[in-house]
Amino acid sequence: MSILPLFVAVLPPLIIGSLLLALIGVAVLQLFGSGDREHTITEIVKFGLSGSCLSAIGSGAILLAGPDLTLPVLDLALRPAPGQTFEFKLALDHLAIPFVLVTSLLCGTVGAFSRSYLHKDPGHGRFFFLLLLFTLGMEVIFMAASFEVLFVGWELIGLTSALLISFFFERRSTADNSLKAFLAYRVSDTALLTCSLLFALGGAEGVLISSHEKGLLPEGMLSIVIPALVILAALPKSAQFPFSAWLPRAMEGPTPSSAIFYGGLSVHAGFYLILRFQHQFVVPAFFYVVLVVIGILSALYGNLLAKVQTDVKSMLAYGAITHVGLMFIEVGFGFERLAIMHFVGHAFLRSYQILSAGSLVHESRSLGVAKRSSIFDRLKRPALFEWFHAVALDLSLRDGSQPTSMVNRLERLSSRIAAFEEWYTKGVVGGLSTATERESRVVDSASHASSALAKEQVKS
Amino acid sequence: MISVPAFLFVFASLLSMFGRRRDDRAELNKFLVSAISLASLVCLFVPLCFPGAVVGDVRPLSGLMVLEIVVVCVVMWALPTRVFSSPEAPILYLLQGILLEGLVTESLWMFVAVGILGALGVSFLAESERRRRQDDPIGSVRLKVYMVYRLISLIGLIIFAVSILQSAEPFFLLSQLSHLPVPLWGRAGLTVALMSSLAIFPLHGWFPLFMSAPRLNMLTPIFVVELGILILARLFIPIWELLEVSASLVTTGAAFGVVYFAVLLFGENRLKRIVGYLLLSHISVMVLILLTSHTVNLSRVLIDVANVLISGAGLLICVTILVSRFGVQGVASPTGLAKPFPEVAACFLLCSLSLVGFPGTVGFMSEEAFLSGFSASHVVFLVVIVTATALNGYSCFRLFAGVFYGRPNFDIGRGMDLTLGERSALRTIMVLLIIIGLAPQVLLFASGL
Repeated sequence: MSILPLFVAVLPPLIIGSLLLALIGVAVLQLFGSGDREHTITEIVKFGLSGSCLSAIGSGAILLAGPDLTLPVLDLALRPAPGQTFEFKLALDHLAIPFVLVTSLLCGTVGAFSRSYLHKDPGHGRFFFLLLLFTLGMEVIFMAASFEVLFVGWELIGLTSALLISFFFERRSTADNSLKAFLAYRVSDTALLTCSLLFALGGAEGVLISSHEKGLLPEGMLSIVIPALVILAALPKSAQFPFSAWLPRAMEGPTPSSAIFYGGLSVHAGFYLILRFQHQFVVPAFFYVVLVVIGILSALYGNLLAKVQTDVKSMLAYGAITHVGLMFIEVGFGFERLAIMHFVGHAFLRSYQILSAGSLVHESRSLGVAKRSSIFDRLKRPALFEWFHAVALDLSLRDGSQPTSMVNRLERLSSRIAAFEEWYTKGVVGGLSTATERESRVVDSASHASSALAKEQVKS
Repeated sequence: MISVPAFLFVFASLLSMFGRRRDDRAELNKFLVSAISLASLVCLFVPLCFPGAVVGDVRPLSGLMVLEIVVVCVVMWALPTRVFSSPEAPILYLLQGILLEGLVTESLWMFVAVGILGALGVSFLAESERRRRQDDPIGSVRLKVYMVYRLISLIGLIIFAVSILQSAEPFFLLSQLSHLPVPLWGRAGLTVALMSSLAIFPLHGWFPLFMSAPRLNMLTPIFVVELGILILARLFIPIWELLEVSASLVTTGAAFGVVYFAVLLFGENRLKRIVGYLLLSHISVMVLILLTSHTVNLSRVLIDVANVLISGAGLLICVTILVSRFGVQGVASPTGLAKPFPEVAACFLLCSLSLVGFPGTVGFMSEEAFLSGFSASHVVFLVVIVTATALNGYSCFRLFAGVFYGRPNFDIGRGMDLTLGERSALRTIMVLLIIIGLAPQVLLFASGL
């Protein structure tokens, strides 16, 4: 009697199931546990990640060996309202397998690395909770059978990314940098959510994994708007031009998380979205043209800025931007398999480089690579290279201020509306604006006093 | 005739009003109200306990009532016991009874009475708070503003009541409201009352100010929010059909309010105001979606009412702890409270993310319920809501980082530890948000839908 049907029924759901169980275990321990929980948490995480990894390998083998083009993983029907169903469907196909396998292997490796890296760290439990949540989010993205389900994973990795950037939250800069990353993610989330809703409004099925022929986009303006939104959703997530400013500043978190987020996996989420979308739907020609143009710009931008970085992690971040840009170009020219192979190689290499960046820094007893000679030095700086160098420095400075300028504009608008709000309310009860102005001054002076005290404590 | 749960709360209110208010009676009061709340839960399974309701009609709202009672209990556990011996306590119990009656009654006049009594009750609370804070001119002025808006709501309701005095007989049913000939001035009164109660732009001014006013008594804003939301849920079908022309006025106000509050949030640094604007933006989204969906029914709003109830209560509990215990006023300077109080930080983050529809929470399910019901003719509103959700999501994270991150800049003494009630409340809120978020069928099943 064949046990293959048993494997087919059990293994694929375990990819997600083991992660969920581990997540619940860690959450319960964090909320209700006491004493030294490090060993228990580590064992739970080990079970979750290795279970997911082995299930992914087994499921991949079943799919590749079998005649079917897709393998169902999970099919849940949630009912948010009577007569409405939210289908939470996950599936595997030949396109998703390499991504799922790379996710499982990388997260498992990083989990093992983190076991000793974060030994006795006060945030040990929190880190592993977020690592599991991130792994779950990535698996959901790569196995999502519809835009709505992909959106679930998209949001999960956005939040975990922001929380891990600000892992060492006692430093003020981590909060600022995590906000920059979160802002970029919100742009991406908005575009993806709008895209998903427009699919529904257009009467088309936003199915991402199916064994049928390529699907058609809704007719009319939506056939242009939807691909444009997909590109807009992909750009910030993959830190492509002009949304690249957040990535180098996102290296504030623990090294293992930087490795899988910004080297291995999260930075490729946008690339996967592009790949999946053009694989599943008949897209207009402008889609590929835009991909190639953006890919070229991002690759040049990343390469140029990498040359003028003085710290190794920022250099690697710009390197990642460059390579993802190249992947966009590959997809734009229709080289799907090349792009996937590029992804696999890049994910492992970049993760390795970021994981070993800390040791490199420690060994060289320096925070940067300024002492090493660059091509600019070796060529004795002819005028053209001087010009390139200056442009790169200028762009590097502007790159950092980009998200701040967008936020500043919105804050200025907000303060104008707040002033209108106070004037409007004053019309109801006289003297209110004086009262609220006084209140604002009290709050602001208290805030300034607290921040001055905090700064003094930092200095001392 | 009023329902048994409402009667029990009115009874509790009278008991605490005429009993001597001392601290040793505060524990007894807290126990009494908790016991009555649990008894109300049992009553939900006994239709005879609801004589004013059409038998079986209470079921669609029973899930919501269960949730409302559970949330109020959770909030009560978290509050300091001295609140139960405060002068406001009897009014709060009365308001809870009024609210429950408003949820189940089928009588139009009983419902109007509920609205009027509710407005009077919270006005009385605000006035008593204002008298106690004569030395706080800022707080006093805020409360005055609140009372003005409450009076607007009250006058609107009275105008509506007068307009239907002739045509509606004493036992007129709410379900037949759309057949009632209401003159234009009556409809205008009702529109104004609804917009003021729900804080829809431009009659929203009271809510953020009232959030800031009473420092310790955060229970009152919770009731204010609940009153508005539950009236919306209860009255939904007959009222919006009745409004006709003014429905477009309400829609425009709500649509404008969605973006207005989202942008206001972006630059706001005062903690309580931020929470107030966040709730306002979400309430405006809810009203907008209800008015523009191509199918209009209570069940679509059920999950979102649950979302606002649970998340709103969770946020207000966290804000109470932050303000009363640590004096946190704004987000401009970090407090570093994430490290010593991770539960407060986690609950705060989860509740605020639920209000912006984060997956895994109740908010995501309510977003799914809403947005999938949109028709193509309302694409503009869709874009408005999605944009506001994006802005609010950023503001939530900014709020969280601004309050909880950084290095602790004051000594955390032993007396500042969370009480058992507070810990239980925070954990219950988080568990409710995730369970209903992952299995919304639970609430629908309880509601018989």
